[in-house]
Amino acid sequence: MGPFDSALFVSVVGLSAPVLWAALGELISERGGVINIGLEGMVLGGAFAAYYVTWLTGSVWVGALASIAAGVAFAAIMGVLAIDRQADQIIVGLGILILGGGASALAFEQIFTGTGRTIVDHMSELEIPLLSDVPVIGEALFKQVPLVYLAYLAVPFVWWLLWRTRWGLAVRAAGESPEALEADGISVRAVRWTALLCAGVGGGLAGATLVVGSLGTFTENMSAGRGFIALAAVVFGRWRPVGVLGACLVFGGADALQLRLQAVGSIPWQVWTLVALIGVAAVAVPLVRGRQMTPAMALVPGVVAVAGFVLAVTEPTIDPPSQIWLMFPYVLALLVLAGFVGRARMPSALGLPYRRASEVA
Amino acid sequence: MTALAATRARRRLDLGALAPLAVSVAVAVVAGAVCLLVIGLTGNSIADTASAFVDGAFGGEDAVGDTIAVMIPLVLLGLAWIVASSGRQINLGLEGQILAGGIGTTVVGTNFDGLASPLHIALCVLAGGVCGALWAALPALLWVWRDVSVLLSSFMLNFVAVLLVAWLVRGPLQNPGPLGIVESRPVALSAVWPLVGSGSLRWDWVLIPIAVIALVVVQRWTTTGFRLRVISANESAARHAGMATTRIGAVAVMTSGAMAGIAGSSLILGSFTGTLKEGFSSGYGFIGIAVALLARNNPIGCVASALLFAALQQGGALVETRVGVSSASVDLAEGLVILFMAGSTWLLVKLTGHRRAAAELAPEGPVGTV
Amino acid sequence: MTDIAPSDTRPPALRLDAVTKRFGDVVANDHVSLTVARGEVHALLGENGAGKSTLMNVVYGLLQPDGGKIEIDGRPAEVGSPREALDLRIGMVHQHFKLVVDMTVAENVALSLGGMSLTRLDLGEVRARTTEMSERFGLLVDPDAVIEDLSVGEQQRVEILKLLLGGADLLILDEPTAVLAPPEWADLAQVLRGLVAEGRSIVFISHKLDEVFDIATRCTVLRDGRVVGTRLVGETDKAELAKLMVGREVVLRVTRERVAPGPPVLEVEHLSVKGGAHHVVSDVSFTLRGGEVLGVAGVDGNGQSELVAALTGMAEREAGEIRLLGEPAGEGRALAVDERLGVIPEDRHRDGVALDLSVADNLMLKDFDRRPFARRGIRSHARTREHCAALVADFDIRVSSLDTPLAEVSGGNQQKVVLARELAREPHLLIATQPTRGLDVGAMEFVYGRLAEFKRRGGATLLISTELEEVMSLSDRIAVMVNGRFVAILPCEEATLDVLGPLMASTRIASPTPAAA
Repeated sequence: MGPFDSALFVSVVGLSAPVLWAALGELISERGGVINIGLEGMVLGGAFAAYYVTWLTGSVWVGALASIAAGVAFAAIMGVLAIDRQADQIIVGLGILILGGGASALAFEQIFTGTGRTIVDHMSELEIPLLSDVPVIGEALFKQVPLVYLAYLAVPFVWWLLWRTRWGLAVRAAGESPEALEADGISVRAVRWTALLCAGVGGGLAGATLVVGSLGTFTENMSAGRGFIALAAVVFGRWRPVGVLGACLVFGGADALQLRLQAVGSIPWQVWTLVALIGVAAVAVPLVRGRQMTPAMALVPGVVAVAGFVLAVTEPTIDPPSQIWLMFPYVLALLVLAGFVGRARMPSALGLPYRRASEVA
Repeated sequence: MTALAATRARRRLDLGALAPLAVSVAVAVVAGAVCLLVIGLTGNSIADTASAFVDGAFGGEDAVGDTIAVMIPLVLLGLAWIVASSGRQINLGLEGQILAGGIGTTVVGTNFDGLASPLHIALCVLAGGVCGALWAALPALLWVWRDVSVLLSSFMLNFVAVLLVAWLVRGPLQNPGPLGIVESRPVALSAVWPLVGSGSLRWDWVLIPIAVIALVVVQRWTTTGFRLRVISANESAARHAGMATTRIGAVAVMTSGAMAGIAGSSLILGSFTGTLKEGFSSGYGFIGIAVALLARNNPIGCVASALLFAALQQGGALVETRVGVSSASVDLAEGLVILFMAGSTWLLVKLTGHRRAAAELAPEGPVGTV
Repeated sequence: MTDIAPSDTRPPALRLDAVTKRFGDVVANDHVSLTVARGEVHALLGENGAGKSTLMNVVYGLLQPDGGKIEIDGRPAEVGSPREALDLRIGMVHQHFKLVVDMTVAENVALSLGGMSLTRLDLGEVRARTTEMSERFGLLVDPDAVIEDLSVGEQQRVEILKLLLGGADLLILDEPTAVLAPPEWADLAQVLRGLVAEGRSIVFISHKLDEVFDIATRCTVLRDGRVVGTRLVGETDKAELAKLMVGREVVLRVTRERVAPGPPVLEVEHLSVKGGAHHVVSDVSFTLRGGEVLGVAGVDGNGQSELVAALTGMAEREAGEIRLLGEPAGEGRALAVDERLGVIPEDRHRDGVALDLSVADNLMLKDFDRRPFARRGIRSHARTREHCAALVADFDIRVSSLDTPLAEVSGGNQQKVVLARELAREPHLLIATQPTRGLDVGAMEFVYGRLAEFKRRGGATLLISTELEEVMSLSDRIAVMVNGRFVAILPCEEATLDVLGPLMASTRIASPTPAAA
C-alpha cells in the first residue's frame, strides 16, 4: 500500500472535515445568491470562540456552540450590509475576512498573553465497535471525533434541506431569480438572511473542528486559507452537496498526502501511479461519456499519464523541501479550478444585491 | 429646465462632490473611535494609547520618515487595487505580488554590484515590477484561458508565494554568513534608496507622486482610461462597442501586479537591513485594499488614506511596545474601515440622490465566474 | 368621472379611488379611479409610459401608492407586498415572466404556493394539482418540463396556472400578447373567456386595440398617468379609443417611401449560429441593398437576438458567410468596430449605453479612439466636446449638460443618444433591433423620422422588431423568422397580417434542429 494506508485515510477524512463544514455552509449561502469571500474570517472567528469558551467552561460542546454563535455573528454583519443595505458582497466579504482575522488575533493576544495556558480539551474519538476494525478504511470512517462525523452527516442533510424542503426551494430560487421569488410573495430578504446564517454556522463549526476537533489550541491565522479552499470546493463541486463533498476530499487528500510525503521524504511509486491514473481518467471519462475530444485537449492529460508511468517505474529520488510540499494543496486547488471546472453554471443571481421593485424606483 | 429644478440639480451636485469626502472622513473617525473603545474595554488606558500612537506615527523626524516609508508601498497598493477593479477584477493577490516583486528586487539588488547607483535602483524597481506582473499573470491567464475567478486564484497564490519566499531564504537565496540566519544577503549599497536628509526618509517617496500622477493622466486623458471607465460602468456595452474586455481585464490585473511588485521592491530597498526575509510584506496587501476603498477608488485620495493607514501602522507598533496593546488592533481597524465603507454606500446614495456613488466602490454586476 | 355602473349587484372585484404614485418629480399615476366588476375582462389601455404597469404594480403590492384608496371585494385593502396581494386573491402575470428558468414547472408552482417553511416539499401533489388545473382550463403544459425548454406561450400558461392554483380571483395580465404569435392569442383568449365564465375577473393591460375588442367588456384608457375615459367596448370604436390614448386625432402613421435600391450592402449566405447543443440560427440567407429596409418579423426568442449577435460580431458564427459591401466581413471585434455598420441594440440599458457615465461619454463609446478625438492614445477633450455638442443639437437630445449622467436622462433621450452615436458614423448598414421599445409617441416619431432619412440617403436597414405593426409599416420586404430560420421573405405588398400570422406560428412546436456534431 505504500503511503496509501489506513493512517492516511484517517487523516484524509479528518483534514477534509473543517473544509467540508465551511463549504457546506457556503454552498447554501451561494445557492441563495450571497457569496461570502470572508469565509476565512468566519472560520478564524469560530476557531477562537471555540477555543476561548472551551477554556472558560471546560466543555468542548459549549465551545462548539460558541463557534456557531461567532460565525452567525459575522454572518449577521454581512447580512445587514450586503442584504439589507445592498452593499457589494465582495467588499463586505473582504471586510469580514480582515475583521475575523484581526479580531481573533487581537482577542487571543489580549486574553492569553502571559497566561501560559494554551492547550484546552479537545474531543475524543468516538469509535464505533466492529466497523472500526474493518481494514484500511475502518478507522478512517468509524474512528473520528464527533464533529467530523457530523460534518459528513451534514452532506445528506444539506441535500435534503435544499432539494426536499420548501425553504430549500426558496433558497435556490433566491439565487437564480429573486424577482420570481418576490413575485410569488416570498421575501427574498428573509430567504437570503437564513441562507447566509447557514454560512455562518458552517464557517463557525469549521473553526471549532480545527480547535476542539483536533489540536485543542489556537494560533493566529490557523485556518491557513481553508476558507478559500472551501470557496474553491463549492465551485469545483458545482454547487451540489455531493460534488462539494468530493471536492473537499480531494483537497483534504492533497493535504494529508503532502504531510505524509513530507515525513517520508521521497515520492514512492504508488503516488506516481495515482498521477498517471488521474491523467488516464481525464482522457477516458469524457470519451466514455461520448464527448468530443480534440488531440490538443488530450495533450496535457496524456503527457501527465505517460510521465506518471515513467516516474512510477524509475522512481527517482526526489526530496523537495517542506515549503514546496506545503504548496501542494493550493497548487492543486488552482489546477482543479483551471482543469476541471471550466465554465460551470453558477447561480445566476450570485453576488447581485437584490432591490425590491419599490426600492429600485 | 425650470428655475426650481436647476437649483435642485445644483444642490445635488454640490453634495455629490463633498459627500464622498465627508463619508470617508466620518468612516475613518468612527473606525478609530471603535478601536480606541475596544482598547479601553480591554483595560488599557486610552490616553496612553493615544499619546503612544501619536508619538509612534509623528513624533520626530525619524518617526515621520518611517511613517512615509510605510506610506509609499501603501499608496502603490491602493493604486494597484484601483487599476484592477477598473478592469472589473478583484485582485486579492496583492500580497503574493509584493512577495514576487521582493524576490525579483533582491535577486537584482544582491547581484550586479558596482553598477551606478541610479541605474541599479532603477533595475531593481523594474525587476520588482516585472516579477509582480508575472505573478499576477498567472491568475490573469487562468481567467482568460480557463475562466477561473481571479479572486480565488490570486488569493490562493498568496500562500504559494509565502512558501516560496520561506524556501528561498532557507535555500538558494540564503545569506551564506556564519550565523545561518533565515534571510537573504543584503542588497548592494548601490541599490539602496539614498536618504533625503538626516532622518530616515528615503528618496523612494518620489514613487508616490509619479504613480499617482501617472494613473490620473491615464484615467483622464488616454483612450485606455476611457476603455477602463466604460468597462467598469457596463461591461456588456463595452463589448458591444468593440472593446476587448477580457484582454483589458487581464492587462489590468497584470498592471496591478506590477504596481504591487514595485511596492515590494520599495519594502526591500527602503528597509533598514535591505534583505529579503519571511513576512516582510505581511498584511500590506489587505491594507492596500482598505486604502483604495477608503479613498473611494480615487488615486489622489489614496495619498491621504495611505497616510492614515501608515500612521495607524507605525503608531500601532509603538502602542504595542509601550502600552502592550496588540498591533492586531490595526487589522481590526482595517476590517472596520472596509465594512463601514461598504455600508456607507447607501448613505451616499441617500445624500446625493443617485446610484452612481454606489458604482464607484466596486463594479456592479455578476461576480464573473467565481 | 365617467364610470359606468356594472349591472352586477355584488361588490366589485377591485375599486381604485384616486390612486396616486410618484417617482421623484414624475407622477406616474395621478388620481386614478376605476372599477373592475366581477366576471368581467377590464382592459387597461394606454401608450407606453402612460402608467398602466405602475398602476397594476401598486394593486399587486410591488409598489406602494402615495395616495388614494384600494378596495377589494368591497372592503378597503392595503396591499403591502405580493404576499398580501395573493392572500387577497389577486394574481399578476408580469410582462417579463417571473419564473425560475432552470427549475421545472412543478417547482415553480410549488414556489408560488409555498412560503419558506422547513416543511417537506411534496412535488408529487403539486404535479397532480397542476395537471388537474391545466386540463380544466386547457392550459396544457408538462409539469416536469424545465422552464427554459418551454416556448414563451407555454411559460405564460405556467404563470396563469400558478395564479389559479394559488386561488386568484382577480387576474392582472400585463401585455400578455406582446410575446405571442397571432394564432396563440386565440388560444389565450379562449382560456380567459373560460376563467371569466367561472366568475373570475381579469384586468387586461394592452396597447393593442384589436385584442381589446376581442375580449374586453369595458376598457379604461390612461394617458400621462391619468384616466382619460372608461368605455363599454360595445359602445365605442377603435377611432375613439385611439384618440383617447394618444390625445389627438391622428394616430401615428408612418409613410413608407420607396427608394430605388442601390448595390447590395449586406449579403448573408447560409448563416448558422449554435447556442448550446442546438442551432439557434440555422441556414439564414438574404441580401440587403442600399435604400432598402428588410424587416424581420417573429415572436420573441426565435433566434432574432442571435442573428443580430452574429451580424455584429458578438457571437461566433458556426457556418456561413457575411459580406459587407461585397467584401467578407471581419470576425468578432473587427466587425463590432466596423465603421460601416451601425447598431441599435435590443436592450439598450444592457448593451447600448453605460447609465453611470455622462451623455458625452456615451456618445463617444465607439469613436473615442478615432482621429481627431484621439491621437496616439491621447484624447482630445476639446474635439470630443465639439463633436458631442453638435450631435446633441442635431438629434435634439434634451439634456442640461454633456456631463449629465445618462441615468438622469429620459428613455427617449437615451435612445436618441444611441441613434446619434450610430448614425454619426455615417454607416452603410443599420441594424435596428426594437428601435422604439418603451418610447413615447414623440420619441417614436423622431426615431422613425431618422430611419426614413437614413433610408433616403441610400442606407440599408435591417429592422428586427416584435411589434408586427412596426415591421409591416416600415419594411420594403419582410422576413419571417421561426426557430432560427427564415421561413419566408415577402415583399411588403404580400405581407398582410393574414399571411404573416400563420407563418409566425407555423413550426413553433417543432423541436429545434439538432446541431451537426
